[in-house]
This record gives sequence, structure tokens and C-alpha cells, in this order.
Amino acid sequence: MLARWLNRTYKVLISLQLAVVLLLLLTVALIVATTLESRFDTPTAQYFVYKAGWFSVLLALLGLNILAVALSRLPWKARHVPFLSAHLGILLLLAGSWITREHGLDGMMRVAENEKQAIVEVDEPQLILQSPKETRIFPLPWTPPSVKFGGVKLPYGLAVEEYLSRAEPVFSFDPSDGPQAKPALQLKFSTKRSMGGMPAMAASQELWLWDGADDWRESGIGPARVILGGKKPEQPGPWIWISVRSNSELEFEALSMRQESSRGRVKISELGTVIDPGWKAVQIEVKKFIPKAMPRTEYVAAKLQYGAKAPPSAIRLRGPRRPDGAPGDLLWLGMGDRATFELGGDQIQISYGPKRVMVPFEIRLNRFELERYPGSMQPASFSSRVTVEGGPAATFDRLISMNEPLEWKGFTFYQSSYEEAFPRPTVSLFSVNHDPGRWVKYLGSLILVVGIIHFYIMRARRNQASRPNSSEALV
Amino acid sequence: MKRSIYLALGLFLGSFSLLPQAFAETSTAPEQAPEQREEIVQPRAWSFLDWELIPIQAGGRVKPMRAFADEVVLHLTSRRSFEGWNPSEMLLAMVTQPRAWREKALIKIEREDVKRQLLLDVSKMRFSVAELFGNPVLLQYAQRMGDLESTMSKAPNPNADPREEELKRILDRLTVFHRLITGEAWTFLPSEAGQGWAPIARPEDSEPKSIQQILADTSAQGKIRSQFVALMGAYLGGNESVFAASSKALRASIEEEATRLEPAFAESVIHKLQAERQYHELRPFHWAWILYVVAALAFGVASWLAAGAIASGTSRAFHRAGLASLSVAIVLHVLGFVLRSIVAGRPPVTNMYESIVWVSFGAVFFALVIYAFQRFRILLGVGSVLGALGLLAADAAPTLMDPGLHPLVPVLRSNYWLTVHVLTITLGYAAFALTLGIGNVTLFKLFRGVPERSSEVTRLNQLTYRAMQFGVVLLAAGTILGGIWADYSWGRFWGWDPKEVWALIALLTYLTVLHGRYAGWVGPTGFAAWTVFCFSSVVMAWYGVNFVLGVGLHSYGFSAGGQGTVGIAVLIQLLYVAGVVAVVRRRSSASRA
Repeated sequence: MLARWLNRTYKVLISLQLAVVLLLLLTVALIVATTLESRFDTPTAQYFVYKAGWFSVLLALLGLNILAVALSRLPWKARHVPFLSAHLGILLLLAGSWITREHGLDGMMRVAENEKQAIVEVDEPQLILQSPKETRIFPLPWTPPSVKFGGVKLPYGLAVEEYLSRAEPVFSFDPSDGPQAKPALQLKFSTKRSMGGMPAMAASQELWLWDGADDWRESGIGPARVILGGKKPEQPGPWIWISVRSNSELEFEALSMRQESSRGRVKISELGTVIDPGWKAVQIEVKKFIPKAMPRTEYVAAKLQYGAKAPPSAIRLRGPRRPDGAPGDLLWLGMGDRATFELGGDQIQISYGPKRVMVPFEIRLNRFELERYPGSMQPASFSSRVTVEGGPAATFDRLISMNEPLEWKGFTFYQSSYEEAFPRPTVSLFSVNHDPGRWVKYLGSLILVVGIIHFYIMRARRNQASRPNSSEALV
Repeated sequence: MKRSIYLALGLFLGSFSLLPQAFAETSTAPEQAPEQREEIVQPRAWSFLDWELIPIQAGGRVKPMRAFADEVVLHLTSRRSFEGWNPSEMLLAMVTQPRAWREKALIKIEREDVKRQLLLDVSKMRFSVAELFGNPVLLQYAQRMGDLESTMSKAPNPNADPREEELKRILDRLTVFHRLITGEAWTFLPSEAGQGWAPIARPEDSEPKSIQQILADTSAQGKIRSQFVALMGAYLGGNESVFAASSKALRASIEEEATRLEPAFAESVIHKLQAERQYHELRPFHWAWILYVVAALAFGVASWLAAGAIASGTSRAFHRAGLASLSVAIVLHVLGFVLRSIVAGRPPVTNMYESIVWVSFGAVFFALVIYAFQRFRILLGVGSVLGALGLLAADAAPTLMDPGLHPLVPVLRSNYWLTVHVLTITLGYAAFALTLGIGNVTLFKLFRGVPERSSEVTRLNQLTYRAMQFGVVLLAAGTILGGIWADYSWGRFWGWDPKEVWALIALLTYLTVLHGRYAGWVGPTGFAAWTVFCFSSVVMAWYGVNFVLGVGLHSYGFSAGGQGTVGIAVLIQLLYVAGVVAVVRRRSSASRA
């Protein structure tokens, strides 16, 4: 019974039908994957196809099929050589890819000029939980928005309750009595009249200002600057500078595009207060005024926007249970954020960020060089002068450029990109790679191509020999 | 950078003439009544040779005025030439008579929704700069683009909003026009190697200079400026010999100054300028496709005559005519390719236009190689048709496939890998194009009633098989070489990038067919039909990834447009296959019954 079953399985495994079916399935899977990638993004395609379990099974079946077919021709003869090498090539390619996937590293390193770096960031988000007793790492695999996130239970009664694969921060301000609380103001700008009898395109825009941090004190709307608190700006107009007089009164000073100045005071009323600097096209309305406020960051799912980089993920964490038994607070953590909880006198720190790997040496960026095509902004080439610092015996200078990577201790550093800056970029981005499967893949490629060519040559010879009755025996 | 250009558009309304004090004609006020307008110069039948050879730095490299003019006119008017103007002369006419050209309907707007949004006459196709300039909606959009600058990509992409792309294109053209007539686009004041050349004038130069001031400037740059002013005058003056002399003088001073600042200029650039002007003048690919068509027709007539009862002498004459035409076409094709390689200093296979030129050459080449061994005349016809189709597509859609020579993104600047990877993979496409051609001929024969088991169909099948072998080996090798290059420059061998994946899909479909044929599941008709079906995966890998999907790391080749045309072409091909297969099936079942 078992023997019969085995025999039948073997028959299927060595069949050409299986090969053709698998090839067709693979083709369909790949078409679906590229469509997903175009329609959504790369992680979506990876989640549903390239990194999915069934895709590995499909590739493994193809490998098994090829292996079985090759073994079925035992004992091998000279005429089998091209057939065997072509198929062995594919097997090696599959095996090499598997080794890369299991044991390889593919990450990014960011180094600024005159700084050293040994950390490689891998695009695999994870939570690190640190308590006085232990440090634990919880990977949070990328999940597309269409798939329900099951939640991750953490120790100490903590849990990840929500996950946004592409998250956009939304800032708001809450009244607070804390020592750092400062006035916060939400303004709405709208165009007063249509331009040239036509409806205006950007109808209105809202923004928050907060007197507690430099980043929040100033904002721009079109060509105009909007400033809350601090010193009176000295730049040419247009700008409006608002200061808080009391819990219910604001004072403003403004300079228009034509450098006409105006000033005034406004009382905050319930029904919407209007600040009027006498500008022709713009109306400013106070949406909200909080005399003592602290910022709060929340995340919402971001829409994919063409041309913009996909925003990183964010998670919503449930804090530990309160002493009175009530459920813990909810807290958003974006990429790179951390949170601290007190639990029974212990400090527990949780940080959310990409997986980090240390390389056993440091890369120091001495200078980043960018050459542009003359008379244009288009980069022609860019490269990094680095020093590899791995102890006294292993310190040397090197130039890493496009198409000229640095290889050291099993790691390869590629000049991948840079951060654009004025007057010249000074931050270099390397793609860092460790690939133990590389030589398996290269060997497989060589054997495959040589095998196919050999196969065709042998075929042509045999056809010549057996003409006109051109039998097309494969092996 | 870009923002400042768009904002500058907002400021540009009234004063827009280059050196307005230099000429009485252009110093008139913009409120001038229409009947007082200057007399418009009509195209002059002059030789513009020296003018066309003047070096100008644009788009990141130094090129001859002819190449610059061809690019600008194509960009501005979406046509190779506008109302019978030679492009190099048209630029001169524009800069000398900006007010007249401002009123000419130059700019083509195709999208009706955009015209409606801009409150333009929907029935019109072309609009003048004057019509578009004060347009408040466009102005607002220009400002918004300035604000959004960081998130906008410059290259067209199929995933971008087509309406926004059209608006962006309109703004780009207005900017080009503006830069031309203010002098900002005329960057031919040389500088040291690696530096950007300076324009003849900048809009921010506050005071327009008088002609006396310009002539008083005796520096090298001042000399070039005054010579350019003199040349403009000579052009307006209408005397050919004065114009020829002044363009020769201007060209000589620019070359001299460039050589003084960068000694290599004289040897390394000047001969390239001549080659490039020649390339633009000759239009080798244009004439090559016409000759390929002639050759294909001659071969067709020859084979038709040979099949009939008419004396074979006539047939042989037609065949010889076809051979002659095909040879000249190939010479032109190769010449164009070589000229382009010399000018670009790299193998010209870096965008859609160049790859189509190369692939059609590859298809002709493979047809000839197999013909050399098999002596099957049909190959010559198929080769001619493929050469004609490829070059015709490249030549007919210059707005879709940019024929300009542009500097490469850093990752492509490796002649070694470009040659090894791209040439190999595109030669694979070429071999598959040949299988498509032979497959179509086979289907046609089958449709005409040639039996499936006849020696003719068997032979055609064998030719298809041979071409497919070339294709499979080249595509497999090219894809793997691409993997090695990717490993070398991006840091991974295989990353499921859409371009990589589609090359693999194409390979898989051909492998499936080859295995199916081996197993006997695919007969002669099926094999011919599958070549067509499989080629649609090549079309997807080649065109589709760049123009339809538009995602992934091969982004330097992305563009948009032509989806409808290509889609319909593929659909017609597939319908043809389905029709023939149905007819053959019905016939064979009828004969069995």
C-alpha cells in the first residue's frame, strides 16, 4: 500500500505535467505580485507573495520536481550532461536564494561626515522591552492595512493593540497643568475671495502653534510666516506675529507683502474670533486657544501618495493595569519612539524601531562627494571617502562609489544614496549586505547558462545527424 | 531651484524681450495695438550650418545648437518641426521676434478636462503663450507646484495623476519659452571644466543694456554677447552672407573661449558636435525604416510572383531590389547607432527609444544570421518588417519616446555593465521579436490552408525554435548578468524588483512552451500561436514595467503614455492568433469527419 503510494508520488514528482503546472502557477503568482506592487507598494507584494509561506512551498516543489527528474535519469550518461547542468543550475539558484534569505543581512547604514557608525538598520520593525531584570525583543512583522492585526501580548500586562503599516502623525494639544505647559493656538486660514472670478483651489488650511518649542512656534502658510510668542521677527513681510496677553486676549503685529505694518488686539470669544491684519486675500480665524497646553501625538492610517515615500509604521500600546484594576492607558509609538512605565517600583522601557545589527568595525565618513552634470542639478556621480576602523591593525581609507562597493569581513557596503542638503549633502547612505549564498547563486547561474548553451549545441548536432527525420528526443 | 523658476513665471508678464534696447522692433510697449505689430519673418531658405554647430550647454552637457533646437522645438510644440520652420532657425526667430511668437499657437494641450479647467476653448488643440500666460488657474497651480516641489518627481510616471502631469507639462513649456526669450536658455558662455556655462542674459540682470554698452564690453564673454546681438541683427536684416559671417564668428569665439578654459575641448568636443549635428541632419533611423518598408514590399512581391506563374525573372528582380534596399537600410541603421554611440560615449541602450532601435537591429541581425545557415527567404522579409516596425515606432512617437541624448543617472554610468547586461537582455528581446515575426508568418500560411504537417510549416517551426533558443539563452544570461550587476551596485542579486520579475516571467513562459513542445502537448499551430502569446510577456517586461507599472528600482526608465496603442496592438495580435487557431481547428476537425 505504502509502496504503491510512494510509487505514485514519485511518478507525479518526475512528471513533466507537474513541471508545466508549477511553471504556470509561478508565472501567475509573479504577475499578481507585480500588479500588487504597482497598485499598492513593495511591502504589500512581499507580504502576499514573495515572503508568503505558499510561495516558498511553490519554489520548493519546483526544486523537488527538478531534483526528482534529474535522479530519475540515473545512472547518468554523457548525453545527460547538458540536461543535468541546466537543471542543477536552477537548483543551485534556488538553494542560494534560500541561504540568503535565512542567513543573509540586507540593511542600511547612515553616516554623517566626521562621524563614526557601526549600526546597520534592517527594515524589520521590532519592540525592545527593557526592565531591570531582562531585555527582550519582539519582532512586529509588517502587516498590510487590509489584514486584521491580531495584537501582541507583552510581559507585565502590556500589549500592542493596534498596528498601522503606514502611519501619519496627527498633532493636537490638550489642556495641562504641567510645568512645561504653554499656550497653544489653532488657526484657520482661508482665501477671502476668488481669484480673477474663479474659485480658488486651496480653500482653507489649518495649523497649530505652540509656545513650548521652537519647532512649534513658527509656521508658514503660502509665502507668509506665522509666529507665536518669542521675539518680533525682523525679516521682510509677509508675516504675522501673535503674542498672548491673557487667557482671553491675543495681540498681533503683521507686515504685509507690500511691507505695510498693522497691529491689534483680539478678545477670544466663543463664536470664532477673527484676526484681521488687513491682508487682502487671506482671512485668519482662531479655531482654538488653550492658555496652558501640552502636545499630543496620535497616528492615523496614511494614504499612499504618488511620488512621496511611504511613511513608516506606528503601534498603539496598552500600558500596564492601573493599581485600582482599571485597564492601562493607550499610547501611540511611532518609529524610533520610546515609552517608560513604572511597575512596582521598576522602570520598564519600551522602544519601537527598526532592527539594528552591529558590524564588528566602524565606518567613519571623511567626506561625501557629489558631482553634478555641469549646468544642471542632476547628479552625475556620488561617492564617500571613508575610514574603516577595526582596531590598530585593521584601519584603512577607502572610496566607496556607485558600482564600486567596499567589502570587509563578510560585509559589503554599497553607495546607495544621500540626504540632499544645502549647500552640499553631508550625509551618506550605504546599503549594507552580508550574503553567504552569493557564491552558490553565481555558480548556479554559470552552470545554468553553460548547460542551456551546451544543450542547444548538442541538440543541433543530433538534428543534423538524424535529418530529415528530425526526432526531438530531449535526453 | 525649480521653485524659483515657477515663481519667476508669476513675475513674467510684460517685460520679456531679450535686450529690449538693442532693437527698435522689440522695444515697443506691450499695450501696442495689433495693427502696429512688427512684420513677422517667414522661414528663410538659408544654410544655417555654422549656427547649427555653435556649442551650447544644456541638460548637463555641451551639444550643437541643432540638437538643442530639435529638443526645444519638440518639447515646446510636441512636433519635430513647427509650421515648416527648421528648428534651429525657429529658435532664432523666437528670440528676435518674441512678441510675435508669443501670439503663435505653439503649445499643444490634448486633455479636454485640462482645457476646461483652464477655461480654454475646448475645440482648439494649440494655444499661444499669450493665451496661457495670464491664466489665473495655471498661476495658482504654478505656486502650488513650487510648494510641493519636494514631493514631485520630474520624470513622467504612469502612477501620477495624468491631469497634473499635463498641467506640469504646460508650465514646463511656458518656462522654456520664457527662458528662451529672456536669454536664460542660451547658455553658451563657456566656463571651466565641470562648471555650468553661463547664459547670455539672466532675467534678474536688472538693467537692460544698451547696444553701446554691450559693444563696449571687451571681455571674452562680452565679445560673445555682442556677437550674438550682431547675429540676431543679421538674421532680422535678411542678408544671408552677413548672417553666415556672424554665425561663423560667434561659433569661433565660443570654441576659442571654451578651449582656453578647458584645453580638452578642441579635441574631445568639437568633432562630437559635428557628429551630433550630422546625426540630427541625416535622421538615419527615419530613412532606415522607409527603406525597410521598401525592402519588405519588394520581398513580398517577389515571393508572390514566385508563387504565381509569372516569369521568375521579374520575381528575381524584385528580390534583388529588396536585397539592395535592405542592405542600405542596415547600413543606415548601423551608421545611426554608431553616430549615437560616438556622441553619447556609451552604448545607446538607456531608454525606450534607444532600446527599440537596438532591438529592431537585433531582430534584423538574427534573421540574417539564421538566413545565412538556412537560406530560407522568408527570413529576409520577416527581418525587414521587424526593422521597419521597430524604427517606425521609435520615429513616429517622439513625444512618447524621447529621442534626445541625456546624461545618465549615476548607477547607469558603467559602460561595462551597460554593454554586458543591457545589450544581452535586449538582444534576447530581439530574438523573441523574430520568433514573433516567423510565428505570424506560420499562422498566415496555416490560415491560407498550408497543412500543419507540411514540410514548409515544419521548417518554419524549426526556424522559430532556433530563434527562441537564441532568445532563451540571451534572456537567461542577461537576467543573471543583471543580477550580478545588481549585486555589485545595489547589494543584492535578486530582490523581486518588477523589472527582474517580468524578465523572469518572460523566461518562464518561453520555458513552459519549450517543455510543452518537448512533451508533445504543443503542435505546430500551437507553437506558432504561443510565440505570439509569449511575446506579450516580453512587451510587458520591456515596455509595461516602465510605462504601465512604474514601480521598482529601474525607475530611471519610467515614463508614461502609449498604453492604449500598445494595448490595442497586443489585443489585435492575440485576436489574430485566436482567429487563425479557430479556423485551423475547424478545418482539421472537418477533414477528420
